[in-house]
Amino acid sequence: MLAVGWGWLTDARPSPVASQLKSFWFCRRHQPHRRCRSLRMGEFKVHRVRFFNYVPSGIRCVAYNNQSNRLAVSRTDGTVEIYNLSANYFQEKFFPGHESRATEALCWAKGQRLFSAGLNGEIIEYDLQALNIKYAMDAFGGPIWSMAASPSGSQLLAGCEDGSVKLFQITPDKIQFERNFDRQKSRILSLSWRPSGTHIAAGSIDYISVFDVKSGSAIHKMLVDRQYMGVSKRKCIIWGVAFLSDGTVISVDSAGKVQFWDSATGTLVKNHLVANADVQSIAVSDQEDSFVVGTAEGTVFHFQLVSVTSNSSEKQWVRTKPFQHHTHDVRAVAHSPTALISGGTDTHLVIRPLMEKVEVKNYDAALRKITFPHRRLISCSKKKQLLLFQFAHHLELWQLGSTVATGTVESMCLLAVSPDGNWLAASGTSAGVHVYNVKNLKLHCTVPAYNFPVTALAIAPSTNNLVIAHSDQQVFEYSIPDKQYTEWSRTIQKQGFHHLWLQRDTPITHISFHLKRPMHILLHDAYMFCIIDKSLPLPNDKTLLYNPLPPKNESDVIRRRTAHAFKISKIYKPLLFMDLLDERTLVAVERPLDDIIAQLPPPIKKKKFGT
Amino acid sequence: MVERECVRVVRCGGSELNFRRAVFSADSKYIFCVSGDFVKVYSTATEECVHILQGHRNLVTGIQLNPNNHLQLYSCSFDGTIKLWDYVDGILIKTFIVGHKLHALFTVAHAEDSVFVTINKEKPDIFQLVSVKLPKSSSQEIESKELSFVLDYINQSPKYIAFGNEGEYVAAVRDFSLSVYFFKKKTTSRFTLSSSRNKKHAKNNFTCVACHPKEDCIATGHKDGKIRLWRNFDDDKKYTYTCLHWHHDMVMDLAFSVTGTSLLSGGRESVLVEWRDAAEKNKEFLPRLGATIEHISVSPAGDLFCTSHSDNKIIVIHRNLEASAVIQGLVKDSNIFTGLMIDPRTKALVLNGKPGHLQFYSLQSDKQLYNLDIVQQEYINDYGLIQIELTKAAFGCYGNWLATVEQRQEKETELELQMKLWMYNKKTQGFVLNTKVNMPHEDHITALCFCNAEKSENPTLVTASKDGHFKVWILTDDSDIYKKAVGWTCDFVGSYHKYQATNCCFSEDGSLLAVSFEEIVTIWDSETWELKCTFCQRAGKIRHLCFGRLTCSKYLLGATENGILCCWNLLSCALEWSAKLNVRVMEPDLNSENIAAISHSSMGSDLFVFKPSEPRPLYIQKNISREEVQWGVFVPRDVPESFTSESYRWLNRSQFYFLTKSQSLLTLSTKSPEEKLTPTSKQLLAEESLPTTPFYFILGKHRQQQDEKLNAALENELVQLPLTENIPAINELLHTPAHVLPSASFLCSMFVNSLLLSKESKSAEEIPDDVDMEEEKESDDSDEENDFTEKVQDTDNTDLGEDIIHQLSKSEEKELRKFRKVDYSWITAL
Repeated sequence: MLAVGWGWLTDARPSPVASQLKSFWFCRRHQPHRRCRSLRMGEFKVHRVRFFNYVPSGIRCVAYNNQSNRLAVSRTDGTVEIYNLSANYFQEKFFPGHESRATEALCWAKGQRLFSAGLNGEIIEYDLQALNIKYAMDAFGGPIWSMAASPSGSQLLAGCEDGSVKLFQITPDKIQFERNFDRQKSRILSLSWRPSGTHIAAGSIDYISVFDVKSGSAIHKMLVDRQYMGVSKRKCIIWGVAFLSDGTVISVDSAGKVQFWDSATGTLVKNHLVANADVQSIAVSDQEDSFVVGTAEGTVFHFQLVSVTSNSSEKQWVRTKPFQHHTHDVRAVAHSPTALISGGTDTHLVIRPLMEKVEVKNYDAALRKITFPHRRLISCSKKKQLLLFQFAHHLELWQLGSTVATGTVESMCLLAVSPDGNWLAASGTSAGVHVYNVKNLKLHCTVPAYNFPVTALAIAPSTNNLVIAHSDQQVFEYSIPDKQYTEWSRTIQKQGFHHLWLQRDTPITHISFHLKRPMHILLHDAYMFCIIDKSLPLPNDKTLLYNPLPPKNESDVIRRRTAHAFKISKIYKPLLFMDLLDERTLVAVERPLDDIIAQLPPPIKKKKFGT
Repeated sequence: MVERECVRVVRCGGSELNFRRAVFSADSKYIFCVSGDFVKVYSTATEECVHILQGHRNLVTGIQLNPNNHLQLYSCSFDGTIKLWDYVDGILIKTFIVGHKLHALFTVAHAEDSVFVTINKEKPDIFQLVSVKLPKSSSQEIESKELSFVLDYINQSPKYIAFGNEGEYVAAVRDFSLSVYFFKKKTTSRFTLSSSRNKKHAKNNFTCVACHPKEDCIATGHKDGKIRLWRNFDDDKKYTYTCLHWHHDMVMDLAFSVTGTSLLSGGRESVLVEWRDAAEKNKEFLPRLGATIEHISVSPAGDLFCTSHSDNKIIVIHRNLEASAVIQGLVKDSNIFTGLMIDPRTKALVLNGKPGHLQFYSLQSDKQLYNLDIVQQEYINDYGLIQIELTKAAFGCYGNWLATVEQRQEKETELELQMKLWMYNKKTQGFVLNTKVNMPHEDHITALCFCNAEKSENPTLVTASKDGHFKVWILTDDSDIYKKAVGWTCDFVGSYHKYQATNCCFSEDGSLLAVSFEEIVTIWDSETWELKCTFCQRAGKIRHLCFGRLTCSKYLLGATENGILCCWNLLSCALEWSAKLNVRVMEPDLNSENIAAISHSSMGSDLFVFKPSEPRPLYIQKNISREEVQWGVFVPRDVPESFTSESYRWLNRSQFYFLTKSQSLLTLSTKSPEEKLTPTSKQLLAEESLPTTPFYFILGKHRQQQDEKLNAALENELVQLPLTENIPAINELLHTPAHVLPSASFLCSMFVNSLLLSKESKSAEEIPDDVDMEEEKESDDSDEENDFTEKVQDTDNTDLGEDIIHQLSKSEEKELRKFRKVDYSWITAL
């Protein structure tokens, strides 16, 4: 039985010691301490912290790489994140951003190389091994609005503020400017290669240009209607273009239109009015049988190529399903073979699987919404009762209670130091955890590699057992002194985890231990907090995993029978951090989504029927 | 003239026109709709019923054009037959006997000799779609028992089934799933929507289906107002759909236009929505159609749509979304408060129609004449809203006055009551609001009656109310310096020991007023408003009250709630006789002494016709209806019947109509009422197909001239006669089939005669015909009121053409003979 959950934040007085001075702010809950009945697990006082004023940045671009099944996401603050879609959508890499480096375009090139370009006019290549910026190169065309890698992956196009389209050659260690295409009157907001590599389409303001790659000259200029439902808007911005192999160009624009053009003749073929606001992004599947567009109203529309009748070969593009998973602008969309991926100003990354492409209907085929980073943004000093919050560009140190503030900064990578200071466990970006002996600074052992990345690490205080959580929700316990998995870990691997445990979709971000109870492991993800009691029997698939909080009149017999090793509490949502301060006090840091949404710019107002 | 014996209860008109989708003829000239046991053929241009296809012995459940011959129509019925009709001539061509009860009919172009029907096997709720092979045979009645099974577990209504891509597949929906059966592959795909498990999808039920005429696309309507367009449905996995959502309530029907470029949808909002290119942003509306759209159909030529509405109405809509014609049947509202009345002027049946309206329904032509908006407020269609209800209405002074009462009660204490008095305006041929009385009584008005006596110089109205009073309203002069006007004011308020007034009734001569106060009947002198005497039988509250008429005018009849029928003698002030009868309806015949009473028991309703003077009924018809009869009325006949049999003599001058609880309008008749429908329909048909020949031009010109003259001549307020009937001889000539025409020489004389004599004969024959009537009315100082009305009726309804032929004077006949001798052979050379 779990005893956490009924406490309230006691007294948290902020004392900013980080570089940025925050206004003095009290956060006090006056609800009385509610204590639950004394149970076996004991009773905790809970600091319920809600003053972690973290607002994730809006998503600006997403780029999907088919070969490695990875997704690169860039945010408005310049942060770039790499998600491994095969490893349970785990955010495995992370490049912190900078205010001066607002990305406007992101693309993958041959050999898993990731490029971004932004309004500072630079093209940046990221080093995915070293997790730093390899180089930045100025394109000399003013702010870069768009970028596209050629189908072969050997060339890179950048569309600039001054109306130029610049072609770069990708060399093994750098990129090299090759030439300019015919300069256009206004900025190039979108670019797309024809899959054969012979032509490109460039979306500008009020028109789309089609260039011949060989000659570099514009062969067609397709004017887009400014009219919007009979009302003339000032300008029609082509937010996205897609060039299909049959020569069709699809454009999305600020008037809410999705238009199909014939690039051979430069004529409009079909027009779909999908929104009252801007259509901001487009992504086409590799088979060119479906594409997805995102609108400023937060709706994502799916278009499919379907045959007109079953016995004719004629096919037409049909708008099929609308998805409303966003509240704000959908700035970026991507189309993986099995899913539609969208992200926007409301900071969620939504992965919506296409049911018709999914072979087996399991939990992987469920909709996912990723809001918080898959790493720990908070650390806690138990002795001093301090909380350290990590923001994009600064840190905040908060004090719980009234002691004077001092603090340390924990490293960002996945490191775990044993409490006695003898051992250090480290996990790189590749799988596998290395354990070092701190005293003699030598590698002590390596935990056998596992194909899913590590999401959290910790070393137990008394036993020096290393507990490792992976992105597929597996938890291992490895004894450092014995250099092998513990008996408990073997048992649970043999028996397997509960299917509901494996179906959780956020990774475990933090593991900690109870000082007095060595059999307990405390861990949490964004939606639950769990205490694993190794002394109790493991749950099998038939038992109830999420045991409800104990009803008052339940007899001890039933309680004992239903008790199993996993004590799960779901009262704190979304939970960013939870740890024991001392044996009787827990600290929980929550970040309610409503608070984040309240800090975002207001969405486009839509009339709702009946209101 | 008719077989004497059998008087039976027959359903008379007023049947649902909106039971199934209407069907257009190939040239969009006609529209077909099922109507009870018949199929009706209407002209889309004139809204007239041109044919009634009769022959089925039970409810007609489906009609479809013969895909191989667009001049033929298939119909199926609960009687288990499929009939093939020639709708142009209204002839039954063939009958195919299937045997099962047929619920719906579908035809497919490429399947030449078979049609699809929905039948019901074994369980009551399980329906099957089967194809029926129609054998080729020359005989009239053919057995076609060759059924082949197509789909099982479908819905009964044809709205749930659609054939697509020229019959390559059939889509059927039921509850939460869509099944598509492919005829070539013989496979069925099935798509199921998530159902009531979570609240969001709780109203995902399918309500209708339509198939795109050109593409593989199925449109389905849903209970939550969504429309889904399904594509790729030949693949169980790759199927996809898109949603269109505008309706906030259930989508009642869907139809694609002929080319498939637009989709029409309708529902309870009474708005026809046209979705162009199946795009959510590109839609057009035709709002304010009056009532829930039940069905939508599209003409094969593509120029017309039509919508069937829940108020028994079909609206023909032009392609550019303009309503062009309205075919309105009897509106069946579940709450008939006003009862059945007869408008003395038009002889139309008057009752509650659309909410807040009074409908005038012609029993002769089975057509709604017009709707009178009484409440005059926008009707808001929403559940749980308490509407203003039209509760009482009465005609007075030969239809010159109409009194209506409307009420709205939201809470026990908050009663809104309004009485309106309407005057007939001869110029506009309609009722105009004259006086509006707010809260005429403190409580519900229970009865309303005019004094219809001939001698009464001043119109008088009496209202009885639950507040214990009855009020007498009289017409007074309401003129001021601006205009002359009349208005109604309260003249007298009567009460009796604070009992609730429940009924009121004037005697035939208007000298006495009977008002019942719960169990007591009070008799008042209408001159002085003095209480003359009271009757009390202590047999429960008085439910019905009426005076005897003609020779029985000294009797007063009262029916009580405890099932006692009493007859009091007004001269002796004593009870004459009483009988134990649980009377639900008591209606006096205006043309005779007879009174009809309908009693109700658990076995059914029984009809008793009696004279107040004798306690023995003239006629008893047991079990006229299984259910309770709510209202009844005597309608004067246009042409008196001549039943010699004693028991049927009461039917000679009037016909008795009654309305049951399930809104079926029934009557007692020896022949089916449809036989009596005026034979103008065929003429109209011929009229329309009149080719533009030189004759046409001559006649057209001729008519125009006539029109002008007529207009010039008719400065009075009389209704103009229909122009088509002005030259009967020509009509006769044109409308008679060629093989039955007499010899040309005979015709010729008649034809020319009609042309030549027209000027004189028109002014001499037709116009005076009406003027005469008017004079008669004035001169004939109204002792024979009933005869007079009958005569008016004669001229209105019988064919004028025949009249004239019969009325040729001797001199004219001589002239005719003279003409016959003249050689008109040059005509044939034309």
